[in-house]
Amino acid sequence: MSQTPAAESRRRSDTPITLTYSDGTEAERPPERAPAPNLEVSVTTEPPAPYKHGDVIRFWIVVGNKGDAPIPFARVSMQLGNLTIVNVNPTFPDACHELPCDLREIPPDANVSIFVRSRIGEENSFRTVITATPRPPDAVSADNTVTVEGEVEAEPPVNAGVPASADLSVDIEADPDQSRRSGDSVTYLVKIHNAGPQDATNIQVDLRGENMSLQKVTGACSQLPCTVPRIARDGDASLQVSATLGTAGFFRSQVRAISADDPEEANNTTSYEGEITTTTALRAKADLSVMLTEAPAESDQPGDIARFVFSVRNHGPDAATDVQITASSDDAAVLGITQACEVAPCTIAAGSSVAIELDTRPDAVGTFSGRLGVSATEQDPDPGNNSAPFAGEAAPASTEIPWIWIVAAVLGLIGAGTATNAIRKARWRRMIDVRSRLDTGGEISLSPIEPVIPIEIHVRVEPGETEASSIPVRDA
Amino acid sequence: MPNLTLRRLLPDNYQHLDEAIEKYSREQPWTGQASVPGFLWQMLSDRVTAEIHSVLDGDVFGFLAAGWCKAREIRQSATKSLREPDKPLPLVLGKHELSTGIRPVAVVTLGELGKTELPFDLVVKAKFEAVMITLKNGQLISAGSGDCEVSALLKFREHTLYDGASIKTRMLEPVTFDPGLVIAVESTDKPRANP
Repeated sequence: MSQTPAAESRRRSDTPITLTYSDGTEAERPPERAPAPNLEVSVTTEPPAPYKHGDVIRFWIVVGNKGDAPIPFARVSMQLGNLTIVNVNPTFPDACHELPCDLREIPPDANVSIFVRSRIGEENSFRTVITATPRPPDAVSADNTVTVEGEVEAEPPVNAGVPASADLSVDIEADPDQSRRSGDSVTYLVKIHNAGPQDATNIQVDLRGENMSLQKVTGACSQLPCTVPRIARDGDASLQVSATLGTAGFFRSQVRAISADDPEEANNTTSYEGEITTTTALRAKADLSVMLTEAPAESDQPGDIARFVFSVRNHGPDAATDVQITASSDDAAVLGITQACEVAPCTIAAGSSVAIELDTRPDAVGTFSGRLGVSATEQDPDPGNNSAPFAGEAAPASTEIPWIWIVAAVLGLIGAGTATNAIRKARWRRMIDVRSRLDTGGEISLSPIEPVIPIEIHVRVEPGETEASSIPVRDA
Repeated sequence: MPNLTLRRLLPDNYQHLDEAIEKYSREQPWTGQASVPGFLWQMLSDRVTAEIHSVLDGDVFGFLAAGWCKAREIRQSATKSLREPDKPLPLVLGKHELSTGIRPVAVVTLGELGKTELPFDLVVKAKFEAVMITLKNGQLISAGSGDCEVSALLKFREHTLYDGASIKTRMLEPVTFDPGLVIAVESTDKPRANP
């Protein structure tokens, strides 16, 4: 016989629930557990042991949520023993680039990876404790911390105990301004000097490259590693090395020169190292354009301030930084430029526009004109639209108005019809003038015509194709 | 709280719409001999986007209702409702999918330079878990109490401007149609005797 529970008594969500059936029998149901997050940290270390002083280790930290509710927030921190962080997430522009690092919501069954590269110091072991602390805390905190430890192999001097007869030293010279973009080629000069007191013989030269690939070696060696037979006392041997830089982040080229004649190796190794930037970062592009949006509605008089408003738009793809604005006019004084970005360096985000006001003062009666231009640090793929002209007209002062009345009176004598035709012709002339400016790709800047080209848009909606699957219908 | 609007399914702007309009204008010149400066297409694109969004700022379920009017099962019920004039016929619709097409056409006049029509295609797709509608006199007069997943695809000619992911929504307030959307009409034709 089937039974339905007549009453259900719930004590707590984590305690069993007693079901009481209509016939008085009771049964226990397993406790219902509320969804909860469960943060778990795991770390993979590359490369594997053995390690030497100065080696760079990459820690791949995975912060996962093994629970069934999202983790709203988690802070990842790293305690370092005999380790120095080189970089964090070098190839992920949107990720955190330092530790501690705050992670936002991690959904159930999702992971967040953090790549940390750190260099081993001078001690003979290293240790790091990586902890991810969720907020609010999760029920199981034992898996929130991972410790990584390792031993560092001591590198005994190759020629320990051998009396010194030569003292080799290695030096690297490189152009500090040379490009350091991913995929670029770098060249540097390795100079091996023997301070004596004897000649150094059978000098073994080797190179350890990190995030760079060796391309060419010229000079005392044609490849690396190599052996230089002899360097005379107070003499030098030079090698020119060319290499290709790897991915964005740290790179290093370590050159070592050792000889049985030189047991003291403290100055026998040197490095050429630095940061590789992404290609796109240095080749940022911002397509700026300028458009005149407002001009004085009426003619100005000499000495009046004529204000023009321009819209400067950055069509991207990157932000335009350190935007410079210049304006010039042969027949009007440029009084000032008011721009939206008052904080230097001015930046216009990709896809954004800023309004710029230009105040000018015409010097004399008649037309005046000029041009406003913009530029930014980034490469502009279309510099042709980086400037726009402006123009206006300065009318005679009020004392000269009688001349206009005289002209009007003469026109009146000629006849209303003739005057109407003149006005009509003038309008056509203006429109033709506007069209000719459009034909040349220029901007529209005739102030008396408002609006210059009226744009009217209206939208009508037509029905499109409509489909419906089979619909189960029943009367309500 | 009002229901989701069709406008909310769409982004604020569309990348490359200006280029698409410029390309269209090159293929079908409408601005006479004038060489239109590049910024004008961007300005036109912004204005057209705003105008189209303004006509789509209505209840998404109102737009989807056109799909119900085409469904065979609902047409049958609408015909049934004609037999009892002025009596509302509430129906519960089970799980089903709808796709409603809308064609906003932007009519653009650029001063004396020319005039053109820019045709857009908007497809709204919805997967309903359940929804209640009411028919009367062969017309759909209201819809209410429904859950669905809805998405929008907007194209300008062959250019896909936006293909949005589905979002879950609920009919928070009933949608009424006054006048109702005609689904079935009473036939006035009388049977004729063969000559």
